[in-house]
Amino acid sequence: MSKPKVNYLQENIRNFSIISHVDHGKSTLSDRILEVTGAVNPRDMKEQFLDSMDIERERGITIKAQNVRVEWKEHILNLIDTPGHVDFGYEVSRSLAACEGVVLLVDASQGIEAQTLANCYLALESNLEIVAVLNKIDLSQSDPERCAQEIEQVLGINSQEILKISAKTGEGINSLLDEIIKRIPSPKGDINAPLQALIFDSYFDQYRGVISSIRVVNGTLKARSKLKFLQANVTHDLEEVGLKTPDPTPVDMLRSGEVGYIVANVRDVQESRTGETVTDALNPATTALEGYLQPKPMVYCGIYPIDGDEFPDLREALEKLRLNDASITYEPETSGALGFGFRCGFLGLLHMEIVRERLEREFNLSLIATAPSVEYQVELSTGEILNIDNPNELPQTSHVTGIKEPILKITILTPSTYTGTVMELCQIKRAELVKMEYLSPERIELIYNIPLAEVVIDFFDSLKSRTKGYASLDYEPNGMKPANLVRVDVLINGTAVDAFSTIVHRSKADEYGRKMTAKLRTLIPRQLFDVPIQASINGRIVSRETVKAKRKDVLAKCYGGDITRKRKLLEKQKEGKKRMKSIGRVEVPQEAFISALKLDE
Amino acid sequence: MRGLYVHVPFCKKKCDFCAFVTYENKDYLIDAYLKAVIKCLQRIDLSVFDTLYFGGGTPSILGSERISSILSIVGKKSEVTVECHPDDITQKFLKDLRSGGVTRLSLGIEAIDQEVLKDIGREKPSRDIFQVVSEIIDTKFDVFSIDLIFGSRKESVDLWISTLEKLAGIVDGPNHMSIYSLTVENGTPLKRDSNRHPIERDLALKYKIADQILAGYGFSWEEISNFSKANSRSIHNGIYWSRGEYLGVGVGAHSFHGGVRSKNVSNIERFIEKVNKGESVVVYEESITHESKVIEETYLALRTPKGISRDSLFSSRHAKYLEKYFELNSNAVLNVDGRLIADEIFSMLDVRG
Repeated sequence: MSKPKVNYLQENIRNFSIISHVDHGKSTLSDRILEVTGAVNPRDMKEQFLDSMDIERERGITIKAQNVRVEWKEHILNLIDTPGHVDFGYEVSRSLAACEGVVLLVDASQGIEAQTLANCYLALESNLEIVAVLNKIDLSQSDPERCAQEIEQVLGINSQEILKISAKTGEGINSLLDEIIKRIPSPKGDINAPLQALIFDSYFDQYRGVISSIRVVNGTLKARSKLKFLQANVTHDLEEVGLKTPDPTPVDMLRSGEVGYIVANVRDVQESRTGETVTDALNPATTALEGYLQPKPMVYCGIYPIDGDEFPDLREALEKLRLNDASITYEPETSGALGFGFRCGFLGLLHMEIVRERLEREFNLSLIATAPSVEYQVELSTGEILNIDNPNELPQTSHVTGIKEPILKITILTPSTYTGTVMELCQIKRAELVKMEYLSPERIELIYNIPLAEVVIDFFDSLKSRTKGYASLDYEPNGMKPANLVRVDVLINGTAVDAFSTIVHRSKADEYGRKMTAKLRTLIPRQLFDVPIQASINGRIVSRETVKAKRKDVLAKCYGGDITRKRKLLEKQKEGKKRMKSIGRVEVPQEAFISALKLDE
Repeated sequence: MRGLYVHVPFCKKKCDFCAFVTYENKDYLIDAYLKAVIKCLQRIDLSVFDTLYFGGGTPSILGSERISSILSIVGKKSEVTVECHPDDITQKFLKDLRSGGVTRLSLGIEAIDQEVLKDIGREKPSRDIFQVVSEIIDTKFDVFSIDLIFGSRKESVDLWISTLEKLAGIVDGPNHMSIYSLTVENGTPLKRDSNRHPIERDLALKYKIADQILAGYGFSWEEISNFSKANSRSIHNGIYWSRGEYLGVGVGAHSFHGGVRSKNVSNIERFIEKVNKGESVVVYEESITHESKVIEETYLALRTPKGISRDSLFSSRHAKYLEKYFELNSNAVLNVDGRLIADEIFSMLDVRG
């Protein structure tokens, strides 16, 4: 690994991010830049060097922002890798706030996608210089000319200025680095002003505490100084300040324009969140940098250990994960059916999936999750407003005067041949068309307002399958809107099962009820009596299925003294019974809950 | 009481539902096998056993001379049972058995209707069943038992009723009946043909019908699938159900001795080879733990009119739902509805070791 050689000179610093759609080759380009600049010896090169989590590498996406300092022709280049998924949009905007320019990376075989646009608009809004680059020109199916035209038409970037590279083969990487130096401006911070530094990512290291990525905007961040975190309003002693080359390399100071990391004896990532402004406690800046946002969960679900004894382990695991990811929220909750667990909030569906996967994988837990839900605003006849993220908290209809649900503004880019099927999907999902625009004769941009609740249930998968994977999606929150929503309860032998209750639009309530009862009929083992399974809306039964009673369950013969076989069969049957939960007098195996809560199977 | 069981793994034709160790094309091994069985018998003290049971397979395939030679080795026992196929029955065969010490004859009829026999995959016997029955009656065994299997889809309820009436109603006829529900066992031709699998509701109905008809002829249940008239209970089977000790001789046979359950090798060539080399034929052994013992006691007692203690029933959190499946006397004994779901009921009891 290389030691920093180029000396500090603010004019010679270039801070930039690479923005692109998933799969357009961002991580490969980052890897190539590390190689070409000599920051990483090709021998030590792991594919996707910056994606350090296993899940990131497996899924081919970046979840945490990373940064690395490289040197190129007497200049210092700080590459700030941004999360590649829309769930982490806020983190992208903070990463961009640490830059003066971006490399807009577009797959020359695909063209512009929804996230390309969304991130590019973010960059334009922040007045960042954009260096547009077409990647994968080595692929036979790539069409750089068409893509260049599209970029010019949609984003107003002169097609003559668009670079063409192959991150895979390395073609065009050197000239890209030259262009970055030529076109992206240097930072313009005031080195003599009081310190203002932006934290754009933090993670928890079990030996060192919180390690934060930081961009110094004004002033100097000196080793061993006392730091004040303005939004959290706490002070910490700075233990270490350094550069990532990409190995952490301690230095005496970071000066305005520089990007590096700090370790400041922070035990809780809540105190060192993305977007936080750090200053010198002895000579503090009076104002924080702009743009700090408390991340707000969009999707909620209940998470329960399959084995009730693992509840304390789940709590501990959530605590540990939250050290790393300040955007997770969790609160204990109890379910009659599932026992003790937590209601957790996530930035989006992918975030939810990742957290769940990490809990199971890194903490070795077996979990059951309820269907994802969103936060509703319920207006009561008393005038009181309730925010509920758990369907079971919805009061009786007679007390409710109105319910509002969160709305997303979504942007869909799709080949125009799929316009019809995409519009049909949006229709089913209660979306309202805002705008429709042809980006080229072959590609169309659709903008809709859509209830978040409809997106969290299989919208993305349906969109992908309807368009054979060609459509791309980006979204942003767009307020709350009243809707005709009801809660559907599922009753097993007359007893409502809280884990299956859900809030849905009235027009879809019957269907949900039918699906759920039909599914449960196949999952609930036969008992000694007929078991009715019903779905109800406000006490009115909308669908019913029956699990027929067991008529006979006895082995005819204890074979010529083969008592062992019989005993083992019975022990198995008995063991199965033990692991069942009682709903009233009905015994329901844990597996039935797990299968029933799986969406659309 | 101690029981001795001898397994005879030969059949003229194996039935489609059968999962026992038995062979239909290995008659050439009969003599080698019997030699091996006799070797096994000669190694043990045969005086400790009270009962002897020839099961199969089809023990009657051996013929009366071979059976008698084993009987003479084992010696006189208070109960000696031979399972027989109707086609093997002759008056001489019966006489030889009776004089050789056989007290109990178990006749595998299974079904009397041709369509039903075909459906369960059992060859139609060449002899007339009722003629065979009357010859057995004339020979006057202490116990004459008949095996029936119910639950074929080709067997109407009326047909089942008439089958029972015709057999149980014979004057001075059988005093023991084994009534087995057709069971789909893994690895059988029946298993692979789901069109012939029995229907649960039909099985339940036919069992209840059997219980009532048999009661009308003076049979009462001694186990889930076994019914007998007064003083005609099977002593040997009773040993299995009361966790008594028994020794199984032969291929795939089971034993229970000194708290250990064991099983013999279930391949006939291996069995013969091991015996001839003087090796142990046991391939599975399990020391019964206290917990397993309690489980066995409970489910075996549940399957008989002995029943379980009232405490065993009322300690279950499901007791209030289970109560209606029991007759409560000094013990809790399953009624006919309960017998039909005995396994489910057992799984709901709070059995602790």
